[in-house]
Formats: sequence, structure tokens, C-alpha cells
Amino acid sequence: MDFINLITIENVFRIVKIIIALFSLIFTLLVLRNLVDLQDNYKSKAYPLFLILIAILVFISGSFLLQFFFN
Amino acid sequence: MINDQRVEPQLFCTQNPDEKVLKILRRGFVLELPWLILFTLVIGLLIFLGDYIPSFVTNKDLASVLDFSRISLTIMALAYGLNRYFNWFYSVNIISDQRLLDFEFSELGIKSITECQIKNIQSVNIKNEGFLSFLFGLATLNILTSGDNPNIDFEYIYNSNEIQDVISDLTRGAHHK
Repeated sequence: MDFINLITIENVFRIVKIIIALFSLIFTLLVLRNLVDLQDNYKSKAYPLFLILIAILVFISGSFLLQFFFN
Repeated sequence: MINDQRVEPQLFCTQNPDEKVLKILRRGFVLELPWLILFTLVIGLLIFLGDYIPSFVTNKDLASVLDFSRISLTIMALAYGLNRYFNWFYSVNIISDQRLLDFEFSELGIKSITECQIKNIQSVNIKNEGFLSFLFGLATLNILTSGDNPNIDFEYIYNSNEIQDVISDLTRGAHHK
């Protein structure tokens, strides 16, 4: 019956937040993967700049997710 | 002994060592403006909502979830915007002294690469369609090729007359060889 006690509004909201953060991280990682694929075809000099921009987004969404596990 | 022979940097994946890139073309950026305006509005709305969520949601936990979703959605919208920009930036038409290449990236993971040797080009047509193209001087080049080779379209590019001339000159040169 301990499991039933775990289902509180607070925990449900926490899980919702984790799912949203996970979704955000997956999406940004997909964009990063796409960028790497694009660069494979046409070699652009602006690639490092693009990489930094998308890496910032990956870092932010990753830190959002990690905060739930290290709080 | 040091070999000081300079090597040209490779501009695309299948570029030959002796191949020289003459022109790199992109679709007119003006045509990207509709989604860019929508993207700016969505980002603006998401930032604007941040001040109003606490005022209409009394439950603290729910307000926290909504605020968290808002920030995550902003990140996803930014990533989506960047992805659209990358797709436009990397969708290039390349004219080299040996062939024409058309790289087309539309959505996440969808790509099409068409290649055609200069010697196989039969004719180059300019087609002007749409009000935006007319307004901003964009045109589509239809490059017809012989046999089973695929035709190539350079869509909505600037200076179409100049590009047509470059391709015609290259074709003439290749046919005279």
C-alpha cells in the first residue's frame, strides 16, 4: 500500500515536469543530430557557431532534467 | 621535406580533389519570413505569459508546472527555429566545374541530394512564378538533362540570368571538349 501513498499531487506534478524536460532534451538532441548530418553533406564554416548555439540549448534542457535527480 | 602543396578545403561531401566550386546558391531568405514572423510571435507570447501565469493560477504546484512547461516550450521553440534556419542554410545549390548539385533539407531527417554532370545538361530554363518571386526578383532555374539523368531545379534564387549564363557557358565548354 506504500505505492498508493506515493501518488500525491506533488509527485504527479513532479513526473509531469520530468516528462516535459525529457521531451525537451530529446528534441534538442535531435536537432543537434540533424545539424551534424547537415554538416556531413555541405561543409560550412559557420558550423562551430551553430554547434555552440544548439549545445547551449542542450545544456539548458539537460540541466532542467538533472535538477530532479540531484535536488 | 615539407610538402607545401595547398589543398583546397572540401566544400561538400563528394567533392573531387580537382573539382572547383564556382557558385553556391541558396533559396531567397525572403521566403523564410512567414515562419520567422510566426516563430517570433510564439517566442514573444511564451515570454509574455511568464508574467501572467501566477496571476490566473492560484495553485502553487500547478503554477510551477505551467511555468516549467513554458520554459521548456521556449527551449523547444528555439530549437525548432534553429533547425528551420539550419535546413535553409544547408539547402544549397552548388555549381562546380564538373557538375551541379542540389542539396535539399526540408524537415528533421528528410533530405534529397541530386547531382548532374555538366556534360549531360541539355538546356536551362528560367521560370518566374508567384508574387513574392516577382517582388523580390527570385526565379526558378529548370535544368533539363539528357537520358535517365534527373532534372535539377534551383528554386527561388537571385540573379537567375547570371546563373543561367554560367551554366550555359560550362555546358558549351563541356560539349566542345
